[in-house]
Amino acid sequence: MTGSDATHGGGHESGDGKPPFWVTRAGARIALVALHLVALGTVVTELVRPFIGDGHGAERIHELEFLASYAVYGFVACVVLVLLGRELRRLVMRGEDYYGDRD
Amino acid sequence: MRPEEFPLLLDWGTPLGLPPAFIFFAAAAIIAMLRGDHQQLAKRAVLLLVPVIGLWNLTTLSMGPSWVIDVLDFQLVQLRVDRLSLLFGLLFHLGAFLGVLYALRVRDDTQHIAALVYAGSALGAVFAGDLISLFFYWEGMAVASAFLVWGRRTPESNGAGLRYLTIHLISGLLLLAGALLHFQATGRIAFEYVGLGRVEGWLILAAFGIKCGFPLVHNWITDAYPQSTPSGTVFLSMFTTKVAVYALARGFPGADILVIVGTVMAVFPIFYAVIENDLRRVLGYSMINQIGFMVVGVGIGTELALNGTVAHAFNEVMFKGLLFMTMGAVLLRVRHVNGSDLGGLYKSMPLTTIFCVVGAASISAFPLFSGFVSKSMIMAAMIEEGHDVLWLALLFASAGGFHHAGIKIPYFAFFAHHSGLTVKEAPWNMLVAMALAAGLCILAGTWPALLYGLLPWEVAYAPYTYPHVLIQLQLLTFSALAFAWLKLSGIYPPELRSVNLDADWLYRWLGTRAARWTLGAIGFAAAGIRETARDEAAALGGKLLGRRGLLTRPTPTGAAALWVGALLAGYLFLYFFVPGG
Repeated sequence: MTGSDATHGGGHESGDGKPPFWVTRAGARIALVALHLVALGTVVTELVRPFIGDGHGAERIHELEFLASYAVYGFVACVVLVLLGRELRRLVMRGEDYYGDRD
Repeated sequence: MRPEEFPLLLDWGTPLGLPPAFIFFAAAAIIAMLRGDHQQLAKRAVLLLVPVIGLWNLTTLSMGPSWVIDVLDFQLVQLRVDRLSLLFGLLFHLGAFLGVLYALRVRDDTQHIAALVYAGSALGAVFAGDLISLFFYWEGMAVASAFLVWGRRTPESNGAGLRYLTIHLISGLLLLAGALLHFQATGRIAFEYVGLGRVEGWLILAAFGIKCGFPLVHNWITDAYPQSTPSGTVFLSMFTTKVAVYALARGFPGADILVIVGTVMAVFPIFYAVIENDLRRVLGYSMINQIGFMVVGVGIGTELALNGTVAHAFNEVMFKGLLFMTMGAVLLRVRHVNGSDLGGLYKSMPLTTIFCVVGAASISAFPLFSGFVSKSMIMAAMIEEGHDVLWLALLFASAGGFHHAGIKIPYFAFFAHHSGLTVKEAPWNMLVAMALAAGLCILAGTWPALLYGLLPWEVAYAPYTYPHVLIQLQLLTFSALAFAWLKLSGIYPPELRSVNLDADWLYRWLGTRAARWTLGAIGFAAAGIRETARDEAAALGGKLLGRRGLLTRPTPTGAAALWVGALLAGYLFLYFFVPGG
């Protein structure tokens, strides 16, 4: 940290000593609920107004022609990515000075 | 390509019409001549004016080749103007302006000169009409950009810069070898469609591939970018890989192998990005991921795909440049960008946080942001050409890209846990550069016709359709949901200070040890040979010259006379019986 402009301390508190609402645990919970609602909203929208592949922008292929297919794909892709990433870490992670060229 | 003129070309009556590279090289020379700190104002004026003058010069150009120089048997075309080169020319001028603005307060002339030569070389490469000129600008980029890595002046940056330069010089040599073989085979040196029909095509593809970050030769990106200076990395992210994408688009459109290579490039880095701690290295992996999409587009080779490639290159310069700017600002203030030790900077750096979120939304292809209108062109072209399985892989890469660049970067740098760091907001010039880049990201996303109007081929693509918007929102929101659940459940891997082995292990660890072992073995063998030779020579000397040796032992006079007689007889035989003896 030598030469840094950073100082430690301070915290999240605003002028009156309280942290802003949007970084509190309650705020995070609300954000999480909002994310769930938006995600659910995209699925409900598709349910109300289904779409079929109709050229550019539709990007629909046979394997993903079911309700909320892209929602499922996005969720599964992210989980698979993280789980495989954890396994990759077991294989490739070494100490910071592994190559021996640090200060 | 579209036959009509480029929208930016204007009729000025007396056009300047210079090769854009020359303007940047001249500016670098001027900066070099302005010595001393008291000239800072003049230097800053030059730095800001160069891209502006260059942009004006760009509007004065005429379509077609010009500035042809005859050298030996070669006609070196310094200015080949068409819609493809003009678009990249415009892009690099915008990038250079953002870069110099971001670096305006840097008090290191070496970095400024290197940046100008680097940007000029990139422009030279884009407007070069022949392979030899391309080679010279290619190497110019390599050398100049290496100084941006060395500019940080740490042991790590010294090593990374040397590795970076070595790899890029190899790329240049491959290009030169390919160019000369091409000339030998065809008698032509013009840089146009090359293809993979002959060996020189593969050499040139290898040269472009190294600069593009093809798998196994990609580590110069993740090695050098995190070690460069804050502003140096911004420049690095804008030029080298985009010149390579341009070169691929011109030389190898429709090369099927690029569809596979690009898909691999898009997929494998996202796994490394999940576990990487250095957030600038995460962006390095993210860059390989995004270039993978462009390489796929070149490989498909249809007008839609190539338009998508060029549009995405344009947008990537903006959003990746913006993300590197935000991380550079964090590096400037905190002195590191380790995800494990950051967090909570939103309060100290609120504007930087907002710009980072804009960059993250753009790279993630959120509707109304730039990535949405360009990445999907490549994806749509893939479906049109029937690459369904690879399309699924790219969709996976797209979700992964959102995960690491869209969520991980802003989350770990500015939110996450509270690290207790209190810093100043980024300097004004950095904020203005970030604001402009963020504005361009939003402009491209909300007004895609503006970008599409600049593309080389006719665009028959509508990004804002109901299915496309909804599909993208589903993909992104559910990816975000997965991240939130994994994080809350503790499954998400924590940020740890570490080194992750990648392909560079081959030359950084195995290569150095193999070289050391080989040199040791050669030294050992040489010592053995020397010792054996010495012993043998001593033994032979003893046999010949020692006591009772062959040449020194007493010999009867009769035996000597017999030898002399034999030699004389041999000589007479040769003299009389061998013709010409």
